[in-house]
Amino acid sequence: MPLPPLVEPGPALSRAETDRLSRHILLPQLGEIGQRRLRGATVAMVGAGGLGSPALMYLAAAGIGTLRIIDHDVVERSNLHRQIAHGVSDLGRPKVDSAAATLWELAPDLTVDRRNEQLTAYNADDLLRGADVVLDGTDTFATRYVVDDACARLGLPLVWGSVLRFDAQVSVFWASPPQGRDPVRLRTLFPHEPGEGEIPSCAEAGVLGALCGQVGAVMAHETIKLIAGIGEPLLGRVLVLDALNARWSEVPLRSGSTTGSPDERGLSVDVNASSDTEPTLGAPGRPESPPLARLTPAELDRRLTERRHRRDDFILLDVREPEEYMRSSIPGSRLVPLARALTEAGRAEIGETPEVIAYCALGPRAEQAATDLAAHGYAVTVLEGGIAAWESR
Amino acid sequence: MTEVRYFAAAAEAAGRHGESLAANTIGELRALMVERHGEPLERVLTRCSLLVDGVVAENDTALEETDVVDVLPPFAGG
Repeated sequence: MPLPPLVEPGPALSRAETDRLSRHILLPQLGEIGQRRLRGATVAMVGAGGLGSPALMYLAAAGIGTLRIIDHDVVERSNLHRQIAHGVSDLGRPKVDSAAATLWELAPDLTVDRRNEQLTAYNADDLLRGADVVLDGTDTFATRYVVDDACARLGLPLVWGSVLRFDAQVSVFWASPPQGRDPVRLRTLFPHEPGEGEIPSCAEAGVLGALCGQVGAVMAHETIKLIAGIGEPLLGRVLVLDALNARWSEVPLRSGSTTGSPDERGLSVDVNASSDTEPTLGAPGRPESPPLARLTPAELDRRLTERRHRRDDFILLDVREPEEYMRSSIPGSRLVPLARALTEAGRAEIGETPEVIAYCALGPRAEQAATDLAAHGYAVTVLEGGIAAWESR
Repeated sequence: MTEVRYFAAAAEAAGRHGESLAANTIGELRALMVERHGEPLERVLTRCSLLVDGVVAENDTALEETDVVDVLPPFAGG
């Protein structure tokens, strides 16, 4: 099940952005709203090296609003076989500057927040604060545990990848996840920080360059999923890649403590109970109204896809207020606030359609609009649980 | 039998990606692995996380017949 989106939608996209990101916007799970969430996001990338290069490039290309790059290294020739954000003309240049130039080529509207500093236990909180999500692509255990601790303190999700030789591990850690999810972090997977020199580094043992591309790309799409609140995040699972044998494995990861707070479980029971017991007939006082049809967010999702392929036809009607609609809406919906939807003028705006699917924040306003529209001859379906249910589907 | 999955340096040291071993605890399992695969695996094992059903286990962690134990070495390259 997806987690709630990390980021509220940013302002509307420009024409150029819409063109550039059109193949993203086509994805029903992401859509224009998801794209605006990416636009509104600040992502901190620790390390602009082997993992940072592909992750940053895909995130920039994906339309992330602000990328904060934290790295104090300069580009060296031995970096170039895997750190593809940098080229030969960048040798000796700070990696944050070299990476920024590459990223602006991909996404001219991107804000790059360059931090040419070494992340330490002393400045980690300051460097990461304000980000919506943090990615770790650093190359020492010491820094990785500092990042893990800082993210836990700041309550930030941490998209974590690591490579050596032909092997890689990638996961999402979150010490304070929503929805009663099990909190897991680097210290859950590897409780004790290995001593210096105990395990070889890439500089000592080598690393297959292209391996970084796969892992950085996984880090990028896990970040996108968290920001937009789509799909099943890589939280509580570690993907392990064995490139030499071309094998991805999934290793489960749990904290070992009891998962799910009682509150959370209680809440989900309440939600089900209320949708079961909520009256499905028209509003009180209109007992003659026919029962309203209802659909779940998943069904709406499927029908929106069908509609895009012109295999379904309906109007998705948002009956909330314009401020609410601006904050977030379901892609492909039309705004006619409740008060207006109950008038002749409102019905003229809706026009002729085989079916109206109505939604509001939670359901009551959509019920009211639907009952009235049904009385005027419309076939109406109400989205169960409103946009709240849609966004946590 | 407990199903063991070896990853990365642990797989290399054990010369395999997995095997089935009979042990009552993680401590016993470690001893059995070292007995079978010798010093190279012993060295790697000292730093590996052994996860039983997703939870990092200690030597006194009891094992059930159906448990899967993942042997995962840490590394920090980026």
